[in-house]
Amino acid sequence: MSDAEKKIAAALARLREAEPSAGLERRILEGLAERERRVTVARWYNWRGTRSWRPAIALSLACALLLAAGVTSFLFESGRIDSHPRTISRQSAGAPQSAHHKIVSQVSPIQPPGVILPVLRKPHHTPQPNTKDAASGPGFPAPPLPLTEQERLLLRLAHRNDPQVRTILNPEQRAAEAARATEQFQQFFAINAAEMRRQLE
Amino acid sequence: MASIEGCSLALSFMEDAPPAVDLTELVGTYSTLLFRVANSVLRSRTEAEDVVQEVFLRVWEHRKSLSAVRDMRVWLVRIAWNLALDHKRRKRPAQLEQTFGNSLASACLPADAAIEEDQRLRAVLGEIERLPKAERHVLLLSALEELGNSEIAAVLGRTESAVRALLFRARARLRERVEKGSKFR
Repeated sequence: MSDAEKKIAAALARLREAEPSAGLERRILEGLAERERRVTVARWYNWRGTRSWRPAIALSLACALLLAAGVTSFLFESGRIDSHPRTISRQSAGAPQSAHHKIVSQVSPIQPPGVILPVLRKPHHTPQPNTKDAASGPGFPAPPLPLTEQERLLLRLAHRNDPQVRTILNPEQRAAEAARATEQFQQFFAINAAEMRRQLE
Repeated sequence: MASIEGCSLALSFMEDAPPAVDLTELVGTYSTLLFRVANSVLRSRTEAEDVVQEVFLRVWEHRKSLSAVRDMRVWLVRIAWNLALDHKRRKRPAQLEQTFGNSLASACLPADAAIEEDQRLRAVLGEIERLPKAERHVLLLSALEELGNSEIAAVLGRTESAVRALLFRARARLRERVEKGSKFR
């Protein structure tokens, strides 16, 4: 073996025989344990944190957005009704009209048609349907609408043979009624005159 | 890392599931070999130890797929080798020269003999550093005498015959240069 080869062999042997410092294995295992502990803690925080809760958070946000949109639209609707009170009277015109029909059917048997119509034009506090629009509007209750021509005809037909109307229109009955009233008048004053005379005496 | 595992990792469905690998046992078995591999490149004890620690951290990160590694020894050496090369690239040449031989000179020699020995080692290791990269890598891995040509070929990603040829050329070139250096001194 030449001198050069000896030198090379010696140098390579030094590389081959190099020994790590004592405790290398222990340090490596400690490092691994430390890494495992860190990863465990990180996983715990990830589990607790946003990563695993992201779908739930996204769903909650979506629900919250939908709720907010619903509340906003509700408030917007309310605000629109408040600023335009006439709109509700037009929108809820059906409800008062049906109420008028009820009133007419109740009142008409004792009153002639000429008397009923002005009464219907008075505002009534009729029970309204429990809707948000009707409850929140300042125009509540809505003013009654005038009867249509058909409604008037119906009223007249319904009250054609009322006894009072017949009395007013029949001359004989009217004369009998007037005679009865005159008799009652005279009788009243006759009684009173006799009593007055007796007291004076 | 993927390239490191690329040739050594086998698909788990291709073979029966081997038993789980004990990391503590791996550390005990291979830490010295990996230290020498890293030290042959870095010539620094502390840096070589850092590399070994890094190797096992990477192993721990891939602990779930360890059972699919065909040749654990080659796989670990390859990781250590590549990490050591990465460390060396980040190192300045002056730093490398400074630590040259410091950890290699024998402590049991007399002072004058130790100095002479240190000079010889520096000269030879300097010549090794000046070898072409492929030859140098083959020479350093073969110097460990723990890896066969097939294992060196697997670590370096070459064929076995190429490793043999590179090793022959490296030794011849190094011998020639060391002889030249001796004559000039």
